[in-house]
Amino acid sequence: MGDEAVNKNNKKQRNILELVWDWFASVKVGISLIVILALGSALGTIYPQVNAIPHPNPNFYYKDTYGTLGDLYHKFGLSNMYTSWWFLTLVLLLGISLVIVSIDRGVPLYKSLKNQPVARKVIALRADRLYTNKETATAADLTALGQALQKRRYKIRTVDGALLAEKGRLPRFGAYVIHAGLIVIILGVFARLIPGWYYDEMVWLKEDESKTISEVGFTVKNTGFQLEYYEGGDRVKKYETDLEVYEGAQKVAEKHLIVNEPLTYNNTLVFQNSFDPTPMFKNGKVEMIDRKTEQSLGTFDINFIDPQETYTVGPYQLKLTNYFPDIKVDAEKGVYTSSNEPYNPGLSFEISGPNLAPTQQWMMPTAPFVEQMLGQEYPFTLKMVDVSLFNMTGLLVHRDLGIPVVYTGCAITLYGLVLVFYFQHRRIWARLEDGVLHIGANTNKNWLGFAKEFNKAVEPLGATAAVLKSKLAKQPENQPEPPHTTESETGREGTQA
Amino acid sequence: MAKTAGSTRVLTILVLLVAAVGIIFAVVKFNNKEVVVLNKGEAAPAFTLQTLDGNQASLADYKGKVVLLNFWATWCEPCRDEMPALQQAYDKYKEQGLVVVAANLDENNITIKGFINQYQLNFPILIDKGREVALDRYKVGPIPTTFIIDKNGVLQSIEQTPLTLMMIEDKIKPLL
Repeated sequence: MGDEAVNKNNKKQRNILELVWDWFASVKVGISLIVILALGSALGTIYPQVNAIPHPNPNFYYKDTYGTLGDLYHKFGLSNMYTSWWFLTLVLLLGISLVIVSIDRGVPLYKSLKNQPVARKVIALRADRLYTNKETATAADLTALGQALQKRRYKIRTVDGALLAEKGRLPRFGAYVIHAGLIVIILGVFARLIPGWYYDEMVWLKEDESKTISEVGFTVKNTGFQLEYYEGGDRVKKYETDLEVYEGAQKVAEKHLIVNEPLTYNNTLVFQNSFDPTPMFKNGKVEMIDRKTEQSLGTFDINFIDPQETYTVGPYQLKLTNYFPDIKVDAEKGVYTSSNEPYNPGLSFEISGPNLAPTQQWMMPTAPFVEQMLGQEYPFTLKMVDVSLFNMTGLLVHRDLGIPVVYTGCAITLYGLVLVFYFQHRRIWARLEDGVLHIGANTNKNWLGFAKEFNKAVEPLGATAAVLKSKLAKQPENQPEPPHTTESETGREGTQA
Repeated sequence: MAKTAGSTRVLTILVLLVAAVGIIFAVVKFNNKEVVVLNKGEAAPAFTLQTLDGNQASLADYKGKVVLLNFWATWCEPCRDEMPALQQAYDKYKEQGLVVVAANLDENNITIKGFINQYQLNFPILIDKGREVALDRYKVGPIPTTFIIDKNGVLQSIEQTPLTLMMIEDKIKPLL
């Protein structure tokens, strides 16, 4: 009884899988999937996708920019459509359908073409759309026909008293070549899921700063960034980075990066993508002036990224007691730095020297008025006489190893399209029976062209030129293999014999 | 459809479906890059960092004490807000075996020293150059993040909010 149950169960499972198979193999299902995907893709272009909006919070952006419709658009997930599970599911269903359709139709077609008989019945030959014959023929005529067709690059097979000449069998599989190409494209798109195949992130670099990106296995270093504006305006003319690439301590590549001319290393592209428009302080030369005598006491240099602690100017010692790279002065919060980047440095010095009790003095190069306010009593003026600024460069590091796969898929698809549109599967059968040579022929398209070739091959034998019979006069034979039946060549013989 | 195909078809369709489901899972995983965090009960990852005066300090140096390991920076407002509470807790419980260790996220020495003077801090301050300990070993996301490590070097609590003295007391009293 147990066995029986298992059997029943197996049978049931088998049936379900057969149903699934039929569902995927159905042309209707395939076309529906394509139509839904096309419509879905179109929907996704109504408003920008989340990755393309100039706002960090999509929940507000869509409502504020596009109103209620935009809000609904976002809430229904259309704003993140191409990575949504349902869109990808549809793509995968289409992929499965392509594989199954190809197996369902392609394999039987391949088998029947491989096993097709050389000799067909005369009555079947007579029914072909192209048919002619030669009275009082001999085996020599059959051989001559074979040689003539061979010259036209037909492949010839013969059996006793019969001949089959065939050309362009591969184009018959053009549709399946297209399917294979599409499947390769889908695989290429999903290839980014393989760890290490896909990386797409921004890297921000200060001058002479380097960062190691372990995902792509190298280090990028900014050895210089230039930013130029058009004269008299704040419109950017160009921004360019001198980039060096290191693997470990060894320099392996370098390039002067300009927009749209990326560096390529290790299958990874590094693009000049953007920059930080707010400049940062790099180095400065400060002149120390005695306020009483208004005499210069000398200068000292400050590195704003990693400042040293003590400076000597003439007889005076300056100790940097506090450094705020990005100083903010707030009535409630006091003095603090709001970032780690030297956008707006604030320096607090303790100055000591002969005849001087150690005094605190602030220096804020971008806010001299604060300095003045605080420093009514300061004995010195700390004046920035020279300063070098820099901007942070924004590089996009992009790797997508799936792209060559996608291009390969496109090439295969194009090849399939060429096969389908420009090549035909042509077959000519000849049979010698009772001293008459019967010649019939079939192709999957371009009958007129084929008729010419056919007549050029048969006329030298003394056979009359064949006239192409109308399509209506003939039954289904010209149609490509219809779904859910095996290859019709064999069927044709049976039904028309 | 011809019913001859049998097991190859069954196999094909199963393989395709499994592959598709696998791909969907991979996509979901790819899109929600999971945030890796440490968990309570794990051993606290070992580290050795520079102190402000140029010496080295390791987690192992504090063995036998309850360690309140705080990751911070001077530019982080909530970090500034909780500093007084950390100092109070240190003052109150250091005799009983608490040590507050504040690892700074790679700022320059002068900024850190200035901050310490401003806030009158006297617990050990370490500098996490390159932020390697914070990001790679302790998987710190936002700062301040505070790890409370018991006397055996086991993580007892991970706090991602600025702490008050009361919150610290709640956490450390059972461990002391």
